[in-house]
Amino acid sequence: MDSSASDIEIMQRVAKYDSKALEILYDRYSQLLYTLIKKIVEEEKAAEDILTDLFVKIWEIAGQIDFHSNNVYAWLINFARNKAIAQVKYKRNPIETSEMEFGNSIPKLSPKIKPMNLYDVFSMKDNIVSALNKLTEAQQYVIHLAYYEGLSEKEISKKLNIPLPTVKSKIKVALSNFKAHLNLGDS
Amino acid sequence: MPDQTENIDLVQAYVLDCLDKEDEKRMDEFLSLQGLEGNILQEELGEYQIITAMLPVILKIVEPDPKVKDKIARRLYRMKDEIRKKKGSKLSYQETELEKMQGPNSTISSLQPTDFEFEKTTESSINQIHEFEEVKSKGKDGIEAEIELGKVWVYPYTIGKEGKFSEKKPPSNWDPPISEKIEKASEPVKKNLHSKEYKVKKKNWGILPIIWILIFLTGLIFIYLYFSKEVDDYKKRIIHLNEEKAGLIMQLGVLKKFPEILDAKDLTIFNLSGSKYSPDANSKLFISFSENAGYLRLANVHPPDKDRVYQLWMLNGEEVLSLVTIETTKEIEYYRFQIPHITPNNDLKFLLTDEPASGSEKPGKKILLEGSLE
Repeated sequence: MDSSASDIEIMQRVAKYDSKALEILYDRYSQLLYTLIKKIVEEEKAAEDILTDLFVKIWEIAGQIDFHSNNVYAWLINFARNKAIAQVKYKRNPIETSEMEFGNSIPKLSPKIKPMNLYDVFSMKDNIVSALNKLTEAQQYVIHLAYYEGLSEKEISKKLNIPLPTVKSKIKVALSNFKAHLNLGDS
Repeated sequence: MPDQTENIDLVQAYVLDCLDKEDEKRMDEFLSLQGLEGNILQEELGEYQIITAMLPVILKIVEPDPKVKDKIARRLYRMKDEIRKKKGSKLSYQETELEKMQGPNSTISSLQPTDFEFEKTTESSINQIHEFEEVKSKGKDGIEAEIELGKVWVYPYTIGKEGKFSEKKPPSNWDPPISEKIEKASEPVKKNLHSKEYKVKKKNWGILPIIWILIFLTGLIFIYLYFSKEVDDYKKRIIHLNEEKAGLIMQLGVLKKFPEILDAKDLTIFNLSGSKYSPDANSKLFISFSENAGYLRLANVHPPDKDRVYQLWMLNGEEVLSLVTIETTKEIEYYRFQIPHITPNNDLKFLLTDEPASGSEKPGKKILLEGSLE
């Protein structure tokens, strides 16, 4: 297996239990996934455990996912985030976090999602930073609370002491503006 | 059901996974019902999923400890049997795994037996692979690995690049394994055993090994049956404990909120007493109409029969309202329910009845508990 293979090629090999492919995937993605997980859970040991579980889970389930049409990059990022958020939610409220939420970490991507790989995204890094900086502080903060702290709209409303409809509107506008500033259609 | 336009408004919160549970469920249902062709919502969803996945790129990259990779490798190695089952019995080795093992740095592909890519092998070589794996698992720790490998397996066989086994000459200072020494020492004796006289004697004793094998096999079957039963018992116990755990967690969740109702200004407590169907049963109802909430505490109430539930009713004058349907278990004592907005009459009455699993629209005849304001 060539380490320059595309994300989809690698995942298709992983789906056939090619351990070398999994190693290439790990070498390619572990830093970004670990960074994201650590940002969410904060503790180093917990982040390492989640990263380990994540790759073991990928090994177990890759055969069941259709990686012809899926965006591997978005799938991995979502998978890592879901697992980390589930951990945070469980820590925050072990009683109300059901086992279902733990089990539901596997991302549900739109079948119409366009392909994108790690290198494409990193090449857009400046553009992403610039698009985020164009958002108001409040818009950036609601995105942060939802994406990295895993708070629901109601929880954000309670935390910021602002009405729920305002939170809903802020989230909608924040992401819409982010998308508009990124101008993905032209890239 | 809301249309596509209404759901498009929820897409941003849906991809950030911050929708309330009801809205999220509604979106999931809507997405699962829609066809792909011309579905604007799916396209919108895909675009937002990409842009939210871009967010982590701006973070300052942190490297995981290199040990994480080893940890994953070890976890995958432990899963090898499971994966082998999934993949069938196509086993063979891609390259000289032994050489890799002797190196100081293990990697996912070196520690994990890459049984999956290799060519078909014969049954005998599969057995040899199993032996190899045992040795490999013992020998993950450097020097000890070399000693184990040298003694047991490396000579006279080695694994070739294409996963095939071939003979290899041992080095001059190699100390053969004890089994080999015994083999050499016993060669003269073996020659004698091939003589005519011995063969005659051997015939007389030919049935004994078969008896021993039969005894051995019978023993194995008994041991297997014994342990199977033990394992089944433990499985049942685990299921039971999990059920208990689920009940206790649920109960804890209810009790966590219970003190709130005790602070309600209009808290009313109703005592419910058992009927002829459950003479030992008793119950208390804690109700606050201002909080629209209530708690039911049950004591000495047997769980309902299979396909039956208990249903709590409130009789307010001519108005009959169902408050909650419950399946009692011994772990759960308190049940929380909501009370609709009503103006309570003085003749307010409560009943707990036995009903079919789907619940009833009006109280059945089998009343287990009843009570009113004294």
